[in-house]
Amino acid sequence: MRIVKENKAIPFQEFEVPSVSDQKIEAACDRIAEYLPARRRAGSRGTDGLFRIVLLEARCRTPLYWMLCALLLAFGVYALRFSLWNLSPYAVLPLLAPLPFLSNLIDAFWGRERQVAEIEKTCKFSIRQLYLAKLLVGLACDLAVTAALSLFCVGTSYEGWKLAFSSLTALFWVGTAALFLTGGRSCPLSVSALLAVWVIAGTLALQVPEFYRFAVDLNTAAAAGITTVSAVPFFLKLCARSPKNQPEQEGT
Amino acid sequence: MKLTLSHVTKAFGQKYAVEDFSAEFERGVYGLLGPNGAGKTTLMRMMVDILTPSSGRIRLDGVDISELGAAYRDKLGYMPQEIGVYRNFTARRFLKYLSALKGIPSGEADGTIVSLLELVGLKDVADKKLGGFSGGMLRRIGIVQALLNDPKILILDEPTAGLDPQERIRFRNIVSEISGDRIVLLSTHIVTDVEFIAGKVILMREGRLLRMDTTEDLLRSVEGMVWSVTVPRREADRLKEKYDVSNIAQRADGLALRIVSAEKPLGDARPEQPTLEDVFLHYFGREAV
Repeated sequence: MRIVKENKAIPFQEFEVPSVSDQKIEAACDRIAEYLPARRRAGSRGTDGLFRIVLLEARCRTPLYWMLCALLLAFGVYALRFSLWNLSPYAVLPLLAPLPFLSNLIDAFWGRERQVAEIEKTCKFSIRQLYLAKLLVGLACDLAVTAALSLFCVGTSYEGWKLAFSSLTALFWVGTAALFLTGGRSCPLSVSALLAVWVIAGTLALQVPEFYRFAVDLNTAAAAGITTVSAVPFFLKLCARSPKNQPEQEGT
Repeated sequence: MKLTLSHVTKAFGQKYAVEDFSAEFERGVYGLLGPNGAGKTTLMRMMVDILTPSSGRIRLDGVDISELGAAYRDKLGYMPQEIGVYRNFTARRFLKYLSALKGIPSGEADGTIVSLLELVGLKDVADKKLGGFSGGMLRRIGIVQALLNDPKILILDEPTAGLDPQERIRFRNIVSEISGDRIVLLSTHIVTDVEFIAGKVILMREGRLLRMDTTEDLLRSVEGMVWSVTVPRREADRLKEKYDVSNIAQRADGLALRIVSAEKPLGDARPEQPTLEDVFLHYFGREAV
């Protein structure tokens, strides 16, 4: 037993370990930090001021855009109050529902050169806020028109909720497609093409009796369910459509 | 106010655009010189917080600019190399839009826009669409937008590219006038632009800081290395092969060469007063030509 104790004692010699002050540790950390990537402060380009920038974006829309929204609203009211080519508003209005959103994209990006982002990125508001604001203006207009038309259903034989759900479903699907397309450089052109394709395809779809009957006879609960499902890819794409996720580019 | 770059590095994949760059900027005009691909634009884009350094720190008065965020951008004016605009906007509307993005109150912005457009000689075309503007006019719009928020740090990437000589002189005067209590950093290929207005010149090559000094000290560093000779064409070809030639001019008795060389190139070579172009040639050699 004694031998074992002696053998164990040999490696455990006493060493002087100098204690390091907190200041020295902090100084070493600061020195090392110079060689590490900077950690961006969370929220430094956050959501503050988003409301202001949405208002700014709204002010930047051309009169033509507001006229289109007003025209769509007037058309919707007319379709609800009077018979329109014997077509049900449940079928016609969802076809027109994505128009404010798509037109907003065209209006917001019309004439915009890609390099302008370089200037926008150095402004007080972040480019993420700016892009989001551009999209939110269209979304807000679309929701406002849809809500107004749903309200106009009061006192008619049409159900406001059903009309709202059908319109929103169309908006979400076409909006998702538009958000996919706006990743490209020729945004106004591709969105214009999508708009044309949507209107033509929708008009043709209304000629198909089965589709027309489906749109008219769909019950409100089913419409709400379809809208909820449709909203998921739209809002996912809206979040993903952030310039934060774009790769950095080399200078020239 | 002090802007400090400590060991700033930016890598794109395996390639280093900027490598271990350290410098301090206090108020004054700084000229950034370097051949194409030296990393000037990447450095500037990091300084305006568009790019994040792969490593290293950029601090304003000791605080990292990525932490300062909007507070830093409030102090910042940036003119990129390529000016992008909304072509269907008028000059006034575009500047009003950027003023709003910079958080400038609308009433204040109107007056600033008018005075800045007047400063760059574009007041008369304030309500014309940007789509019809020439390259030079767009660059002037670029300068105006950089000055909208009365920035304390002004970073200009190739601001004089595409400007005619008159516009360049006007630009130089503007920068000199506004440089008072700001940090102004401008990169250019036109060495004479920097020579007249920059207090300090930064030489950059292959992403690295080569030298940062006053114009006078840089000129002094090549004193006794600049020569002029007039020789027949065949001899001129030989000298061009052997030395860095900063200028060639036709003369009745042959070609007059301006040579930058530590050694006297010919027996009858006359020493000349160096210019910043000679400095550029001395440090960057054939890359500069």
